[in-house]
Amino acid sequence: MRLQLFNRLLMPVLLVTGGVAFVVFGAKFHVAQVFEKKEVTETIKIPAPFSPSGGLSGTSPWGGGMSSGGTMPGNDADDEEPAFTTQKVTRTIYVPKNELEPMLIRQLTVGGVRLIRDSDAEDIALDSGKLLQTYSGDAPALCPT
Amino acid sequence: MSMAKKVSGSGRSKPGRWRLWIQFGFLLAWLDPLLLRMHSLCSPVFHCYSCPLATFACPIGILANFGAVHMIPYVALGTLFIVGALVGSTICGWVCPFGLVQDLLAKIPTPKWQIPSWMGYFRYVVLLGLVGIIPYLYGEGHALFFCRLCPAGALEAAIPNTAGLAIAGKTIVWPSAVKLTILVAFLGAALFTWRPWCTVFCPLGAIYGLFNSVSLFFVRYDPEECNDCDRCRKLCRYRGPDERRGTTQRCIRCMDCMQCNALGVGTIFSKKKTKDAEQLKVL
Repeated sequence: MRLQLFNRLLMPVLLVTGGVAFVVFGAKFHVAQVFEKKEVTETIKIPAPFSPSGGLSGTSPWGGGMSSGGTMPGNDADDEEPAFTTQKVTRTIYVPKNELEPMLIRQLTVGGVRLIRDSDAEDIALDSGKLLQTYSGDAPALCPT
Repeated sequence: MSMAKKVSGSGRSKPGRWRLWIQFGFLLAWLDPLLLRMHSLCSPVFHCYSCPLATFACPIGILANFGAVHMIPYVALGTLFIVGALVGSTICGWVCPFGLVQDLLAKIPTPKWQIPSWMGYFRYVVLLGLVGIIPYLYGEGHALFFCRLCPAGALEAAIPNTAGLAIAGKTIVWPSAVKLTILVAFLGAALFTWRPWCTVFCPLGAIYGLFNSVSLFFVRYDPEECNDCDRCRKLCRYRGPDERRGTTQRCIRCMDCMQCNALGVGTIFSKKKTKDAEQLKVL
């Protein structure tokens, strides 16, 4: 009878113990990397296109020279900074962040995370198999299904 | 040949009398009375977490969504292991809110038919196919992704959310026609049979049914008290006991069968003196 009780007790105890272990592991240690898409705007300086002004410096090889009192062109430019134009460039980057399983449960309930599959990899600069956060800013409130 | 024994019991069994009240009590817990919205925690019942009033996350939704992202949902699996090992499918009969909806509809006095026992195996097709394989292979966008068909989601989430948008004067997002059709079909079927969703399609009931034979709490069958009158099978609306009184998976442990003395609430610690202990079977 005791053996029968032990046998009958063994499986539920193992299941409960395993269940508790699963819950603790999932809540505390199970982490997944989720990539968040961000738009980054950078300002870059582009040198102005070269535009030569005043012809060649010095005297002409054919004798014509500069008028007296004149200055050689280009001398003034040595004292000034070269001209630049600024341009704003927007780049898309994917920032990885680690999410614990309870947070992923909440994210998945509203369709906030999806798996990059082979069919998506061409449109998104992420390898297939990675997790992508589907929203930026506030999370959606409703499940997409 | 066994002596004819007295067929005892009339009316509902003692535990069974309280079932509806206990179901309503749990319903209050699932409907987030304190507006906690603890969707990071997994509940053991079939209740859509997109419901405006859902407290916890649905275990089937978690299994399907985690399968879609190729991850193992340890929290959900652990919850199912713990609850299944402790009480098995008692959750279905006493705790599940969608089961309560079907029970209330079944109280309407319409003709009732019993669903054939073999249809209960279709739950495992739903579990493996719509909750396991299709999400894993095709993701959450597939038309057969379980949450896109779930009638509990349609009743508890889609319709209330649509109504909320309409009341707030916002752009209405109509639920899927397929989802609504499935909901109407099951609610209509619940008028003419007992718990059609639970007995034929519910993947969560399929999981809990597997734990029935090993759970700490079970329905005890005592052959010493049994005189083969088949009253238990007539009392059971959900095809729990079959010809061998050994099928455990379809039983939702409503305890209606306990009107017969041969069946009772049992735990592995309860001591029932019988002539032959090996005859003590469980449901």
